[in-house]
Amino acid sequence: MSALLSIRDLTVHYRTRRGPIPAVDRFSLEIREGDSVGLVGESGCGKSTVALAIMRYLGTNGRVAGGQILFRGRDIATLSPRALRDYRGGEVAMVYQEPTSALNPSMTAGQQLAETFRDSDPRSVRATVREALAEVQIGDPERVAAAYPHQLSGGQQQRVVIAMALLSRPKLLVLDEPTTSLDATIEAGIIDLVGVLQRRHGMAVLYVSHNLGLIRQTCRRLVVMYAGQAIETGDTERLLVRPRHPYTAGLLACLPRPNSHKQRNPLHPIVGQLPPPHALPPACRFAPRCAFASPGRCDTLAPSLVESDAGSVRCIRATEIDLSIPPPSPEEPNYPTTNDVVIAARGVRKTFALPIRGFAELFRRRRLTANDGVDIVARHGETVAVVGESGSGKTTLARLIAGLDTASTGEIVVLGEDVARTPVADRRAALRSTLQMVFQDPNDTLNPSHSVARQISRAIRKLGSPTLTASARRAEVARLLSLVRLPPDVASRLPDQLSGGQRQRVSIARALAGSPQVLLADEPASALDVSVQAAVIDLLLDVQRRAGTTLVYISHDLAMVRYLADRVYVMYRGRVVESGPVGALFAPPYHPYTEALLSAIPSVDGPSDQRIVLSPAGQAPGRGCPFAPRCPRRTGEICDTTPPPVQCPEGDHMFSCHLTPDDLGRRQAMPSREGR
Amino acid sequence: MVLAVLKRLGLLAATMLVVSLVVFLLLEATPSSVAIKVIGPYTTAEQQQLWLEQNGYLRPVGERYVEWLGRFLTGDFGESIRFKAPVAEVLWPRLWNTAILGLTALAVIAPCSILLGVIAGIREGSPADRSISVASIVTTSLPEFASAVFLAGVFVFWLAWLPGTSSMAEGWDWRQLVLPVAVLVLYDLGYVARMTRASMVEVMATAYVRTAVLKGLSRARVITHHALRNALITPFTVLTLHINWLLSGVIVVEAFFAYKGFGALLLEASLNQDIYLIEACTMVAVLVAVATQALADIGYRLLNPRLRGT
Ligand SMILES: Nc1ncnc2c1ncn2[C@@H]1O[C@H](COP(=O)(O)OP(=O)(O)O)[C@@H](O)[C@H]1O
Ligand code: SF4
Ligand code: SF4
Ligand SMILES: [Mg+2]
Repeated sequence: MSALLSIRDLTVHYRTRRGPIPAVDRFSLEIREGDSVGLVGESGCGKSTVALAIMRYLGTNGRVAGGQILFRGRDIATLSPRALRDYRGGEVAMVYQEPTSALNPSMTAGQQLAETFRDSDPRSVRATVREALAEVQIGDPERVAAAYPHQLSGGQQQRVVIAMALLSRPKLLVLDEPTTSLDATIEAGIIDLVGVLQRRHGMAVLYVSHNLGLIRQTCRRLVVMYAGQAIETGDTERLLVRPRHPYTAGLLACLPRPNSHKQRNPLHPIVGQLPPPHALPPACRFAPRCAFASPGRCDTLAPSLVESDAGSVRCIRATEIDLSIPPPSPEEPNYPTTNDVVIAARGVRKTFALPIRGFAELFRRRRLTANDGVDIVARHGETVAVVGESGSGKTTLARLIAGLDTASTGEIVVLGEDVARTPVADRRAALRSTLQMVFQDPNDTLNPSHSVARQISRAIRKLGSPTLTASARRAEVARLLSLVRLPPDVASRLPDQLSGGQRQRVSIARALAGSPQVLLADEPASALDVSVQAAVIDLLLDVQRRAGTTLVYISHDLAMVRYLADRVYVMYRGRVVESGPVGALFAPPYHPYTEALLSAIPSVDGPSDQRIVLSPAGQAPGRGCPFAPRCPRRTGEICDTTPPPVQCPEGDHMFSCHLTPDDLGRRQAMPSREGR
Repeated sequence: MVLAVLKRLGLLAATMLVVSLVVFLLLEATPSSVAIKVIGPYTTAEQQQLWLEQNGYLRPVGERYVEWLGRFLTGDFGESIRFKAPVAEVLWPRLWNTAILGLTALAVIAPCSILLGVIAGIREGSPADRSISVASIVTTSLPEFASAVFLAGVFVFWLAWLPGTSSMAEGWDWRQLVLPVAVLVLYDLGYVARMTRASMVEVMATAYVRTAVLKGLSRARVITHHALRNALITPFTVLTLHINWLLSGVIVVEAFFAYKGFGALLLEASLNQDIYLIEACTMVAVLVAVATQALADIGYRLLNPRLRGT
């Protein structure tokens, strides 16, 4: 079959104040009709630039400096404005990373869908819009078509964007990290949808992502990019099982495997970070981070992309090195734990007043219950994970424990003291420094106008030792920075001059200033690339190993939770629906909600199970089971009317459901779905 | 939305009530000073006492305020001392003249500044953008008396194309309106153009404009339907708020060109301590300011679907 799209030696430069930077360097790629290709690499490696170059949309400062892109044999650089519009609207369509900003805030979803066809009569346009929305599995197309983007959830917005892209039946769909900002359950739904649509319409797909696990299910072939170059290509299964480039192997080692756990298998983050495009290493661009780099060769001889039957690879040592043996772990993973209870929360409830809408609410405020009777226990040296979709109340719980908010009712005992209604400012200094929080966005805690050293030494003064001399404090700052594996020269920089991963490490260093016994980490790595994610997690575990810190880890990334947690709490609508040791929780019987969450975990190996796709969170339930409106195993009336009982199948493991462990253990047939 | 508008109007009424109280207390709290202002400083104490009694000034302050407010609401503002005529008769024509001046200026400013701002903002850093940006910085930094002197110098004394005063002594003449309007336009055009440009530049770089382009829409449609709609929210608000700014510019311009407008009246009233005229002028000026503010708020909500919903 002939190539639909062929990129030949594409070089793209961005004009910047430092002069032109090469974001993409002699990049080649062929996509055939109906093919699915994944483009993988850390952020900044040039993936989006390739995607936008395909659309011939490089912004005001981007320029194709070499090579060409052919669509069905025609160089897209030569398209007339008219032909370019037909190409963009008709042949190739794109879906973006941030659905929220990709839709016009002042037009309804329906208007934005309808405007691509201008001619025909309004009734048929409306019907087409409805069909398009139904095709992307939106339940109530009428309502969604009439809604403004801000009235839709992230998942719905992304479905609208996909519907828009598909309207003209493109031959190629380019997806640039379409699920990065979405919850795992929503992400799973979108990825399935893309697969179904691709098969139905026979279009080709270019799927851009930094997560190999995600791409595995959608793509037949992968291209791995590093610093603007393709460094390895090949069939997905081969590439994931037997990577040939050290970087590909490194990306894979960052992902926790289903049967690995922190007690047995350490993560292997790739050391260092992507070189900026204006300071590239002279020969192999990966050399400074490569464990296999051979001095005298890798730093003098620029490797070229060598083709073979199994794909191509850009490494001069590709045939000599054996990537199948993981590098030895530096130390025995040994986590000191005791049975001392550090945090015990009982019946924690927190409500927030909602904004007033309408006259009657002036007198009766509606309230939102973010935590509804949560019980949770964390012991010394243990990692306790709290999981659930966004909005399930995880962050609220952490903020209550940290004292950033106070509970409405219930008790939170931290180191023997009930602090449920003591805001952090009123807590004893010792308690304050012993319990620290790390946030999803490090910018929440870092002051953009103070140097790293200044912020850390302030934390030392406030949380640790107020009496240290200036020079002792400087030494302490250096010690903390080396603890989080940052080079000492970071101390003098401003947060802006650091990468996202480095900023997160600085905020961890800050939290460690008072040698805390408890760290509350709220999605500390979810905004980061997998490679950086692994480094941050590795760092937290390192701290835990050395100091016996209790870690409360909040996340919707169940693969990571399975890897690092000792015990897990699953939250749904402000309540804990299941809790227990990680082994019991990740094996049947599951609570139906946990089962759905688990089925959404993307993985790079093992059989890819069928996923349970949940309908979007709907109406607030009455008095029955909170999960009843979405539960695929709902047994009947009783789920809507009676609160489910708490059951203890064994030891520490408990869940609340009307079904018995036996019922739940038996795997039911999954609801049948289109395209399967 | 309706609730929000009602709330806003309620706030407007409340503000006006407070302002009226302040104005009343400042100017009429002590009756004797009112008498001096109205019948003159060289009257005897008895004459003043008599006047106060005849005009009901010996009643309690509260009662007087309520009555004063009632008359104000029906458009009865009292008698002007300087013009020896009911304040309303003096005020309305002057206000009308200023409205003509201001609205003509606004009618030039709004389309021109938006057009220039959009042209500059469509492509940041283009030659058009640079020239428009520089020109608007220069014109805004010029104070209005300076541009008045400059324009009068060129068009009145040098070229002798236009009259130097705008008193409309021999009846209405559009040529007399040109220079005052030009000064006001020069004063405000650049500012609004720059706001529009900034907002346009921001919008053109958004992801949704990119979506629109990559949908295969024509450039014209992307600009009119996606960029402008969102980019104009800011200039709309700025323009409405600028009605106030124009009002202050109007005082200088009217004084310079001897134009018989509201600004000049305000000046005359205060110089002559024409108490009832001052009261009326103040209330009108504040009302214009507060009402445009409310209008800007409501318009902003209407233009912004995220605020419209609830
Ligand atoms: N508009 C731009 N101006 C200047 N540099 C840019 C621009 N867009 C991207 N870059 C740079 O080009 C490189 C590649 O970026 P990008 O294609 O966005 O990578 P990815 O999608 O893999 O994260 C990065 O170093 C980035 O900083
Ligand atoms: S060429 Fe050398 S440094 Fe580069 S990836 Fe291969 S072994 Fe590593
Ligand atoms: S109680 Fe019913 S609705 Fe709730 S999880 Fe169990 S089966 Fe599902
Ligand atoms: Mg990107």
